[in-house]
Amino acid sequence: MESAFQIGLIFSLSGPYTALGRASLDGALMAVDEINSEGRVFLQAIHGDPEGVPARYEQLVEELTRNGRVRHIVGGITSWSRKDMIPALERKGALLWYPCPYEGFECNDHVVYLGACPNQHLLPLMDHVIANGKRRALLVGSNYVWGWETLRVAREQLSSRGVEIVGERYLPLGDTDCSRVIADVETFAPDLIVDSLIGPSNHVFMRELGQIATGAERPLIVSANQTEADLDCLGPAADGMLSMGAWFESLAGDAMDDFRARIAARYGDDYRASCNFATAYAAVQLLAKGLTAAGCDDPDTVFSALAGHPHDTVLGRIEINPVSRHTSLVPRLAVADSGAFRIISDAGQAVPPDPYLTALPTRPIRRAPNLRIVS
Amino acid sequence: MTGALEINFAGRTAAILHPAKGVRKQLIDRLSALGVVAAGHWPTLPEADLAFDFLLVDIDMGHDEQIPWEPGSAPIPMIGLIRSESPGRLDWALRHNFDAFLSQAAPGLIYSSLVVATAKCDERQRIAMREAETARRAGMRQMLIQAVISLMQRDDIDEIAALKRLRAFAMIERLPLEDAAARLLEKSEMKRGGGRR
Repeated sequence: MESAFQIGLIFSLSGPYTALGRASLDGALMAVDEINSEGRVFLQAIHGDPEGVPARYEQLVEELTRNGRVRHIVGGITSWSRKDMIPALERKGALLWYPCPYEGFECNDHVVYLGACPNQHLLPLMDHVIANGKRRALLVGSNYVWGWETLRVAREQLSSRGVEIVGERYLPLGDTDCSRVIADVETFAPDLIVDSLIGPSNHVFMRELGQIATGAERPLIVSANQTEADLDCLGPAADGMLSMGAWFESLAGDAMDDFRARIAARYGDDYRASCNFATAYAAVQLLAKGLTAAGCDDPDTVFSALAGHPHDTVLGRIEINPVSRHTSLVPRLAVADSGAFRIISDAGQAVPPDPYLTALPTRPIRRAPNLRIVS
Repeated sequence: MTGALEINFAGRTAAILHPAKGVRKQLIDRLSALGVVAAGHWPTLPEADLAFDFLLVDIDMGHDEQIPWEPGSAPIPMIGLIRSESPGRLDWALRHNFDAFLSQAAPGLIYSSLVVATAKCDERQRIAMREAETARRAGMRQMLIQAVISLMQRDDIDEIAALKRLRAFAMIERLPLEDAAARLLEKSEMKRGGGRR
């Protein structure tokens, strides 16, 4: 007889990043139903909706894990929410399967990091724009850890290789007053915008940008967090934007055709699957595989059963590092074109995670200038 | 704090002084993910090789003889591994002026400890150098007075003008005032000596 396990799904269906929460929940629920129909293990998914309110995440972890009811949670979109959930996960001994790209510089024993970290998204993206001769960059992001850290890495990468940073602006999460950023674009005429805005802030920014600059006049917009989940809201304003991600709907291959067909059968032909959808789907699939192999839902046992060896998933052949708990992923660069992302470059094989960017050249040891103040 | 924060430790080495093999292994793995090559030891550090860049020490069991430097004068960042939180052991750790602390219950935070310890060690060394320099110059006060008197006599000027002249000389030579005084006295001594020859 199959084993039955309760798992938590914490995704916001309202608030400033609804589209991403909806996409992730859809992917996770599809995986749950597929696993249950296979019969090896039975998952009972309980959805908690924090409605995009940061304080609700920790409360929901507490509620779901009360009395050991749930020991595995797939969820969180923003790093803000993940960092808020961690203390509750530590108190309850639960494990979070986090399915989004994030900014790195974290390695917690109660998290499995299934999204890309900067050496898998931002670094290859910066390599690409520098190789393409961009020289004047404006950096814009949402005002929380994702924006701060991705733009810090972008700033360091670009400025160390001769690209002028003409400005750096942050908008509160959910804020749609982009007038100052748009004014910066008009004033400084950058040829590159590194965009770490999420949700409605980004939708408004992109649309307003489309009104002041079109065609060759428009700076190249690059992002490590734009997916198909945003394209419906962005419309033609997204065209030409470059996004680096671990999965795009246009990925080729028989397995992808089959995956897309199952998505269409469940959600309709017009449904737009995204990296959030695919990663949340893969997270539940991996969790089910771990539960099956472990025969119990003890988080350490499940994690040990999965980490350190390859798994074929919809993201490709991936591997979770047993120490850093991050995942090897295939970076793919795509351009938004008429409502879809067209892949223009594919690393072809998974890149091991380097969440602390240890492979970057280290700074020379600082020396004090050889000057004296004479007193 | 001055200067840019160091945030990448790839290629550095660390020694871990801890009696528990499991804890040493856990920390070695964590450090390896940060590009730091670590080795665990207990109870003594290998005498032949003290060329590591970080030292992590178990505060509960650590003792003076294990640490190859005088308290507070470690030339590298030292990180205290907190286990029992017993006040006596914390007091010992504070006497050794550890640059950062890491709870053994939270090895996932070791990156923060490396960043903080590196910055604090840097600051500690800057302060130590400044204090040593201040003490050295304080020990040269007599030369300063002698140089001022010497200039007053040589050029027939008052002490304010002599000090001003000495200061101008120090600026030209790019020397601290006390070293300029020593240089001036040395020069006038050589002149006198030369005259005698």
